[in-house]
Amino acid sequence: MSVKKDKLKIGIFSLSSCEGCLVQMLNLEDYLLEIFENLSLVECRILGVKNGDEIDVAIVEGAVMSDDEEKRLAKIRQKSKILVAFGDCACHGGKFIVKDFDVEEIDTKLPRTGKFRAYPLDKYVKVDYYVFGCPVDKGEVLDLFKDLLLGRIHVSKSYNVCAECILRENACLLDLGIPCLGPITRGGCKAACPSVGRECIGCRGLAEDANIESLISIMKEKGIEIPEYLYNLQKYARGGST
Amino acid sequence: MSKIFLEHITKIEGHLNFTVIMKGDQVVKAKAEALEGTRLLERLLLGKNYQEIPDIASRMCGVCQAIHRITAVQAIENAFGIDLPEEMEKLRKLVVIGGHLQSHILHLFIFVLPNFLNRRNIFEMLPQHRKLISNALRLKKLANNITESIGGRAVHPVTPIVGGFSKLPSRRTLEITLKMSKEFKKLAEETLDSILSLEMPKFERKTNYVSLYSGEEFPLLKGSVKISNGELFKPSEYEEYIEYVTEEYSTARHYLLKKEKLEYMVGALSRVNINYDFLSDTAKAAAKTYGLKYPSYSPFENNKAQALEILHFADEMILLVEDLLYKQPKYKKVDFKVKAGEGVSITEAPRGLLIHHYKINEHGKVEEANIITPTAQNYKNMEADVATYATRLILEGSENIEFELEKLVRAYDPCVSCSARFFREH
Repeated sequence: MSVKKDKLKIGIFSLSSCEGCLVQMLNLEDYLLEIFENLSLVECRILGVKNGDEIDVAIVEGAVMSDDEEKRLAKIRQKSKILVAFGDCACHGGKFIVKDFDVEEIDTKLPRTGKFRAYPLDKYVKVDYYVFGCPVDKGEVLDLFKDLLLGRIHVSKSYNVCAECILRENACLLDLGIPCLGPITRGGCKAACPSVGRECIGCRGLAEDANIESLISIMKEKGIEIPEYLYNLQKYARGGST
Repeated sequence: MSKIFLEHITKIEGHLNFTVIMKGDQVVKAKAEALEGTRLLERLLLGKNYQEIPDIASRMCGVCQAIHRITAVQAIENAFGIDLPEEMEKLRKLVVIGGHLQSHILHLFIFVLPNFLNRRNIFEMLPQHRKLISNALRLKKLANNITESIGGRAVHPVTPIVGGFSKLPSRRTLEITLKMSKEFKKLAEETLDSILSLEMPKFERKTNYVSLYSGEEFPLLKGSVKISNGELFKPSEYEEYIEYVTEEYSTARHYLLKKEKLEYMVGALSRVNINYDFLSDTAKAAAKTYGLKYPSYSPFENNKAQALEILHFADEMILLVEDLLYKQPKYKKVDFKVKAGEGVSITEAPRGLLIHHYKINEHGKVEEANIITPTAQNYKNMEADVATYATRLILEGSENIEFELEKLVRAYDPCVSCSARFFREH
């Protein structure tokens, strides 16, 4: 290791969320120390790190839910070269779990936040990389750090959950009459839910060539009751970079 | 009027400010201000099919998701009148205990310990304490693996569903879980000295302590609720005993004991204060070795109560897996009928009493939902402690008031995401 190079300066930020994605990052126990020794962690509230203002990469978790957060996000974008939307709240505004699209904006009297809203980061700023999932997959978080350290472009999986489900030799839940969203959902989770008998609920957003109409017709054919939220997915849980 | 302002307190879950308002040298009021966007999770549950509820409820919090999921499942099961065989409840306890252990370890070793060693974070501890940090991370990994092996995922587990499980662990999985549990216990005994031997600030303020209590075992998923003043009530009666107050400065609701109009504390310290007798022998022996006496009236002792719980849950985990290896559940799901009903479940989350309450109609859709999280219940007590402690620090002429007050808030292990769900339609 003779090449002396400045370490990549990373900031980890959190907007409104459950912080499960940050927990998932900390769940990389075997690699955590090594990762942060090879990087220079400039800011991370949950770990108690604040070492200056200059950053190369901002990893941002959570959805924008208040004016204050909108301003914070703009500042973060301004001072970073690469901005990563980390987890479903940051990528889609946590929409998959909301599933009830009437509550897009509720006119309630809320202290501090004003109107209710939950929007993804790319509604306000340019996002360079997306790490999907609720929560994010540990393996994909590790991939992100590897890419950042090596200066590679981080590419999200384009294929669907079925691709990984088949590799694990699982029985197809649709064949068992269970409304699984695997065929239209972006892969990368190694089919975590279908592998333990739970239908995919689409937490990673739509796969790039998702064909919702076709899934609906397959479900109808198999006599599966179609979940109401399926019809709304096209509009909200979009592929990310659009 | 002057004030002490703690902004975006670090090393806690979520965004929290604390303001202490002063008049001269006198503390007038301390305010716990949750800043998290209001996530309206209860509103999102309305009209949803009962099967979707646990998936959404677990997103309340990324640290204590396992207990949110199981509490939601239990509340719905209570509404439908479902009883589970003992083996299945043991499996659920395992999922939850893994979650509790990882949460306590995260709090004690990554959030709390650096401050007591005069470091700002774990990275500054590395040069001198690398082995300790690696051990703590190993413990965290084992705890996560245990939740994952039974629950399907470590963060937001998926297998526990209404009526049972979507998939049961194989015998092989249980055998591996037993091995991991034993490794966990051994390593925990070696590692926890670093927490149990810390000298905590000498600060006491007696308050009301509230915890589940069964009179049979250390509380987790079942029991009545006991208040340290002697009152005992059933989960379904909670609305007669606790009430919420809203504060304009916070996106979270705050809670008080309804009859007394007094603040109260939930969490590891309350559990140990009320259920000390039911701790495992290993945990009791550690309490004796380190001279810990209960009831304790120091909020800082919540840290050590968590450490004792790690030892207790490690023992319980081993017993549970051994039982399950001897007698596994015969089937993964019990039969039940969807019907209109109301269900309450009160459990012990890592940070204290957790209440889920649902009213479900005959089609299995949720009509009303109420969720009360531990941190929301603790805010009023935190404010009273901060006001009292600030007064004392000022009197003593302390130079590090902000730092010491942050330590106090952190001892509660607050989880702001959970608490910030304030919702008021008008």
